[in-house]
Amino acid sequence: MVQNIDLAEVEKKAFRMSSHEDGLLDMFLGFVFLSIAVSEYLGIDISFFWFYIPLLLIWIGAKKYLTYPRVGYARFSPMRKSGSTAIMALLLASTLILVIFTVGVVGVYAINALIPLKETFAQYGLPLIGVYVGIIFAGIAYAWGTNRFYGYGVLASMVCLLAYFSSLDLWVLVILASSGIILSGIVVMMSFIRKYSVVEEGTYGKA
Amino acid sequence: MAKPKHRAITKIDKLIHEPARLNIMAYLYVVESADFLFIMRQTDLTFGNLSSHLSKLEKAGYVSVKKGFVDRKPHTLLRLTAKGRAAFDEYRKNMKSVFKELPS
Repeated sequence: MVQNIDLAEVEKKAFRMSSHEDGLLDMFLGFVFLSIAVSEYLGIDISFFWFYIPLLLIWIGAKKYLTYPRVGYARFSPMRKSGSTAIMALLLASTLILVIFTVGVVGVYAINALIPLKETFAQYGLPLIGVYVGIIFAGIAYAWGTNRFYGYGVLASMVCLLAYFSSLDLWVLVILASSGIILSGIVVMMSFIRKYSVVEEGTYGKA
Repeated sequence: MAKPKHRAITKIDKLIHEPARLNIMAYLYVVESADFLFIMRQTDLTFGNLSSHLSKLEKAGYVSVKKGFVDRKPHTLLRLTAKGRAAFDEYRKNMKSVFKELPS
C-alpha cells in the first residue's frame, strides 16, 4: 500500500541484490569450512597467508569484476534502517550467553564428576555447537532475507547431530556439507550471471 | 464556514507521487548513495526512463547526480539530497493522512 511504504523491505531487497544474489558469500563460507575440515581430517596445516588471503582477494575481485558491472553498486548506511544490525547484535549476544551458560554447566558437571573439562565438552558439546551454528545461520538468513541460509543452518545442525548420534566422522560430514554449500553458491552465481548481463553506462538500452 | 474535507490530498507532492519516481526515491532513501545501474536494476526502468525521471528529481533538488569515471568508464553516482529526504518524509506523512481522511 502506498500509504505505508515498507522501507525496511525495500532496503532488504536492495541489500540482498547488492550483496548476496551472486553466490560469492556462499562459496567463500563453503571454502573456509572445507579448508578447516580438510586440514583437521588430513592433519595438515593450511597457511592463513597462502589460502585465506588469496581467497579474500578473489572474493573482492569477483565483486568488482562480476557483481558490480551487472547490478551496480550501492553504499548502505552503517546502521541499516531495517534493524538487521540490531538483530545480528542481539543474535550474537544471545548465542554468546548460551555458550557461556553451556560451558558453565558442562564445567560444573566436569568438576563434580572429576572428568577433565575438555573431555566433557568434547563428549557433550557437539549437539550444542550444531544448534548454535544453526541459530547463527538462521539469524543471517532472517536479517539479510536470504532464504537459502536457513537451509545451510539446518545442514550445519544436522552435521553436528549426525556426527554425535552416529559413528560417522565429523570432518567427513563437514567436507560433504561445505562442498554442498560451495555447489549451491555456484548454482546461485550461474543463475545470477544468466539473469544480469554486463552493461556499461552509455550502452544501456541499446541491446 | 464549513471545514474543507480531504485537505491532506492537496499537499501530496505530485513529483514524488508518480510510481516510477516514488520507486526511485524509496530506493535512494534507504541507501547512502547508489550508482545509476543499481537503481536501474532495482526499479526495472529502462535507461531512457530512468534518465528522464532523474532529471526531473534533480531539477527539483531532490537528487544529486555526480557524473565521473571509474576505470575509464562513465559512472553516475546518485544520492538523495537533504531536501529530497525531507520531501520524501513529508510525502509519506501526507499519504498516511490522506488514507486516514478517507471514509471507512
